[in-house]
Amino acid sequence: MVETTLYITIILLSFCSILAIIRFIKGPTLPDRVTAFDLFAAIVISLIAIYAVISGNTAFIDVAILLSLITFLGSMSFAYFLFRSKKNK
Amino acid sequence: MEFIQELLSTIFIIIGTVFIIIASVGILKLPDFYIRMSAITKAGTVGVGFIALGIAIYFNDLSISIKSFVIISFMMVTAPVAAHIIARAAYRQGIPFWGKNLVDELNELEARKDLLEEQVASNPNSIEIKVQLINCYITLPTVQGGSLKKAILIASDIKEIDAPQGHASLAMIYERDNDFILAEEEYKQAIETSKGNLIYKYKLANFYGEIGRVTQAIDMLEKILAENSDETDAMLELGKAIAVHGKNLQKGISALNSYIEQANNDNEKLSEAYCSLGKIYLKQNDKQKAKSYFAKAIDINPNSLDIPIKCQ
Repeated sequence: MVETTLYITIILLSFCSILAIIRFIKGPTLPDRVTAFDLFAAIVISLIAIYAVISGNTAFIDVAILLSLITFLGSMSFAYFLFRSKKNK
Repeated sequence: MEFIQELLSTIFIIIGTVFIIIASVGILKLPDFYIRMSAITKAGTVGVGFIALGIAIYFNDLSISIKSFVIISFMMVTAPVAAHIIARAAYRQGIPFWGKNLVDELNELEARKDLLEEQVASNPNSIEIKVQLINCYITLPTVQGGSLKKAILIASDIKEIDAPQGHASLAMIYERDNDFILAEEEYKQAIETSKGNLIYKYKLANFYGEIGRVTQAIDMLEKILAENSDETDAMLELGKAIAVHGKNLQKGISALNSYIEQANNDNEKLSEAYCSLGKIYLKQNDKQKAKSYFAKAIDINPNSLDIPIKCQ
């Protein structure tokens, strides 16, 4: 019973990641893409965590922690890049 | 027992998934970048947090619990920081708001700064415009065109035309920069160069009150009162300062009473006076009198916000 619900949540989360990718492609600006990527990373973190439950392998949770760290660094560096790039008002 | 544990963990995971679905629908459907950003940082963080909680319950193991706690706390700390920084960078880039946005104060302030700069360039002798421009410079953040150096330059310009006003502006800049020693010095010089103009004395007293040196503020106001015994504003300010400070209560009561006797029809100030009187009586543990004064304050000005809640 538990396993089927978890599989269903995985399917739903994959659907969500498709929505995030659509926003990533549509844009229309760079900050939009950065936030879409943020959401995509959050979805991947949840997917990994749920997969850790299904497979029973607890090592995957470490991967989720690492990924959340890296996404933070990624969005920070994108923000820094935006600050540096020219103002196009 | 195990059944309850599994049920609870799947329920939490499902709640988390629902939140993430809401976030992804939000990122696709909402109208502008800033609104989308708020949707995904709130809902996304809560979603991941619930899923991590569900996992902690499922495994029921200390090390896993600690790890999922790390995920939750890390998401809670980093997501708002990242969102704030990206939104700030986006605003600086000029990413537009959607059409129904009504207020953009930073932009207005910046436009006003540009306008004032032009005006200063066209008539360099107007002090009023320069004071306004200084205000703009010290309220705008540095990345948006605010600058203490420019403000100080203009203040020294003013000083050449009108020395006390220039000193007062400099004092305002230093106060904004949290350099209270220099600010006090400048206020004193403003009073000195204006030969004891009351406006600057009030400004100094106000400054003392603002940075929490209430005794000095009270001293200053008493000095003003000693020199001009019919200065009603000083009485009110003195009463308010004493109500905050909590010493020499008798003096505060007499000052406020004489203010109320001589007061003109300014309802807001009169209500403030009654409110301060009430606070002083409250400090003297005379609850009956305090209550009646608070009632009077509300009677005169129903919008007065300064009254302690338990007395309303």
